[in-house]
Amino acid sequence: VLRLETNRYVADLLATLPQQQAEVLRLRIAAGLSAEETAAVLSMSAGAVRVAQHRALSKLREQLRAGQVTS
Amino acid sequence: MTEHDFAAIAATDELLDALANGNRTTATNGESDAMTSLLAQWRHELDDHAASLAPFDGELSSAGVSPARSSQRWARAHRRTAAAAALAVALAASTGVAAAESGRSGPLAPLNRLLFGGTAQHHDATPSRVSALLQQAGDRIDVASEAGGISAAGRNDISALLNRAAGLLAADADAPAALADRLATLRTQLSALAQLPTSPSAPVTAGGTDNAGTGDHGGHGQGSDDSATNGADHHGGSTGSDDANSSGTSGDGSTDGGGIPGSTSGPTDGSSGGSGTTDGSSGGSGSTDGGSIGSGSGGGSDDGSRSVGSDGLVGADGDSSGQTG
Repeated sequence: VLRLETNRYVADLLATLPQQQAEVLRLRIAAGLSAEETAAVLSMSAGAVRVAQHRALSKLREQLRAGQVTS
Repeated sequence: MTEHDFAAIAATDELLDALANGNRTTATNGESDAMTSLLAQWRHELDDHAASLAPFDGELSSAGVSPARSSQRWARAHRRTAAAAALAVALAASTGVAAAESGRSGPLAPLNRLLFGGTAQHHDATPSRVSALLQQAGDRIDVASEAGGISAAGRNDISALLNRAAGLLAADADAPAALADRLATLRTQLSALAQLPTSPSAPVTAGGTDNAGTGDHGGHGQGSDDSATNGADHHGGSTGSDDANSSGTSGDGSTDGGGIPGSTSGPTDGSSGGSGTTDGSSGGSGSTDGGSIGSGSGGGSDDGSRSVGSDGLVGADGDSSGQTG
């Protein structure tokens, strides 16, 4: 049985991010790629990936704190 | 960007590395606890679901794969699936194609559903891919059966095909049951095949393709397309003389189940490069482990130019009027 609640909640969270940042998080966490591998997939530099993921997580933290996304 | 920023970026990178590796990381500060826990749970549930897609060890051991190896195989397959899913995600992002349609069937479907949500639409991609894999495995088993056995490498190759088919079937609940039956039958047939010793002088399993060399060089045998995995095509070719006046020597098949030396008589009358005689035609290389049987097509060119390059590829200048070998 798939537990979709978490997935849907995370999907909602990711939907609030710019597309590239959301893709970076999907690739890094769900697909398990390294920053370098993610960079190769998205045609970015590894440094840009690290900055993007940092910004993305910062935004997610803010949203969770503010309770802007509800499951 | 300050030093503090760099440190924060590095910390985030470490956190994501840990999450990507499936570690249930504890956050270093209370503020990020909720987010870290959420992402860790997300990853954990993805892992749980992916694990449910792994083939049973029993299935693999029936194909001669040990449980330990099967775990490694699953780990590799899982990694490939994740990488493929990542590519599907990237495609969806870059092309704007909704929900990475390419990943909605086959092994990517469940992960695709998890990543993108929604219900995957079933279509015929998986059955056709499974059928192709089973057909390929069945052909190889047939050839090996006719040859009286199969090498260990050949058995592994066929097992890999069957396991790929099994993986596709496992991920597609709507796949026709007949495919699963066919898969089981092929596994049984494969396990029933006798094991052939692996040696350079392995028994010939298939006739090769003959391509008479002409002109400057004696021809090289043309390997079958299956030979690539076994390097057979490098051994099946004949070598002609460089001055194009002497006949090439016939190849003797590949080291691993190569083809039968060809007997083509390629009429040649090379005008500029001299004539490579017909004996220079090569024995084509069959593939290992019951590769496909090559059809003889020896040819002597009539312009004396090179006809066949190494590795069985026909050269540019060859005007090979082939004769069946």
